[in-house]
Amino acid sequence: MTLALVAKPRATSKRTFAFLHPAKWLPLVLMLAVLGALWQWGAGSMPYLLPPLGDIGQTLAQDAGYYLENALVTLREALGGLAIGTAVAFVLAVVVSEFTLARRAIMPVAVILNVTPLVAIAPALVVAFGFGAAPKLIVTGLICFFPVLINMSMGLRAVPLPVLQVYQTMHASRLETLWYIRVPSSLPYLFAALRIVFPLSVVGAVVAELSAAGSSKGLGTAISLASSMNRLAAVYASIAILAVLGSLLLLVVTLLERRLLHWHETRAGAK
Amino acid sequence: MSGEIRVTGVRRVYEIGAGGSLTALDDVDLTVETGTFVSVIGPSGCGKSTLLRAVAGLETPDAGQITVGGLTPERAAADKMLGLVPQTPALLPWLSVLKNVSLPKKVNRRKGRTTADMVDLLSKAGLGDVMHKLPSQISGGMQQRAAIVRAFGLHPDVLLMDEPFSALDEFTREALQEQLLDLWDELKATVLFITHSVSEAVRLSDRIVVMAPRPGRITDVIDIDLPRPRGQALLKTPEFHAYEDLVRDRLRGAFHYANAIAS
Repeated sequence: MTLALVAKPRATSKRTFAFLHPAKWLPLVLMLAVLGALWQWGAGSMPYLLPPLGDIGQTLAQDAGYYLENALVTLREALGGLAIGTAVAFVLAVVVSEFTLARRAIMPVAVILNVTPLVAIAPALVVAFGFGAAPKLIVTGLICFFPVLINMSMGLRAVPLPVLQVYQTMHASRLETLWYIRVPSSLPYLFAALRIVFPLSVVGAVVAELSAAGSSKGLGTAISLASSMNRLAAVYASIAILAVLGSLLLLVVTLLERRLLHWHETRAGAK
Repeated sequence: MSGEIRVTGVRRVYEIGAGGSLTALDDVDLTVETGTFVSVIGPSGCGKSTLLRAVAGLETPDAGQITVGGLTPERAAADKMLGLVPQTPALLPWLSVLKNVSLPKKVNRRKGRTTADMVDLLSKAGLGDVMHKLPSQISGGMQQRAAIVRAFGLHPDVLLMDEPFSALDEFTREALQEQLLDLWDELKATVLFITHSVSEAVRLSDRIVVMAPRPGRITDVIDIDLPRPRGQALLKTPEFHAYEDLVRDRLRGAFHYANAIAS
């Protein structure tokens, strides 16, 4: 199996616990402390602009169930759209990298789709598909689609010529070349795209929710409800959860990358 | 088994913009008999790599004919008769050395050839200890050895090698020449070997083909009558040096001719 990878080399305990060293975490902690202090100062002098951190925390604690439920809805939309967009982009990338005519037909359309502001498309999709999950999945899928398509179609064609020639002289079929050589060597490109679209999927889901003013669930909906009632702390409570969701998704993709791409040269010197 | 390479009247011209053209190969005739080791040597731009790519079926001549074992290069490739060792190892970075050299068995499966025991072959090439490592974890010399094992693994009738040792240091290069000869002795294949090293050509070959550029063509064919096996000791003998001098002289002729044409 091509994708079954060799055991991870030199996973020493020294490396595993490296993050415990103060030089690793102290700068971030100090930065967060400074930002928190600035926030509190701002909230104290301009209460209509920023709610105090304590209020946000209190809101989250009081309505934990409500926020959890809405966060799960948004997360489900984000991951669903991410899966659809990435899968379609992956398949299309294979098609455009194998067939020049298909590339000429598909890539310009994809570019046009990409430069059209999705915020503008979202309301139209709500009109067409209603307040259910469909428009959210479509918007999220569209937003995730393009980076994956571009990177994958580049990665599939980035195989060094000598490698292709070696297997050409053995008369490897196109399918064999694709499966054994092109797809695995495009994985670093795929992950570069995934690092972008995993967090971006949350943006897609929220944009779709904000456009569908009548939808009943999701953090985007929670934000528009809270802001219409001038509940600033509740707005920021949802925003805080979104930030955490985005960070978690980025963490997931980073861990996956570390597991699957340990052979890749940009990982070899990673600290 | 027949692995005879027959090149007749082959011509290859590259268009190089602004109506210009470069004749990489001009009416080249060459026969490499089954089981012999033939090196092609010449200054850069003499078309030696073009010749190899044409025999590999990676490039189509504008005129003339090439057969490998009586078949067109494309048919020979389809029958898995060819093995290619390029200048760079061209290993897949995500596969271990063993999986890299075993991959040729998995492609083009319809043509079931008797394949070598790869573990055994890797051990013979001195890669037994590193066969489960990734290419990036072994030295350049080891990587190139793995590339040679990969090519030999299918027992090809014809082995095409395009300056495979040119990126290696002198010591590694000599060690690899010896191992190549050992493997060749055991597995017997017709070898077409491109090089720009005179001593390498003399040591390895039954016959050396000298080429000259503009237009790329064959200017000399020199038979090397040295006993085999050709170990380290042979490199110091007067016979070896005499052949080196001879090849160097003929090469100089090819260079001068090229310069005279150019000026």
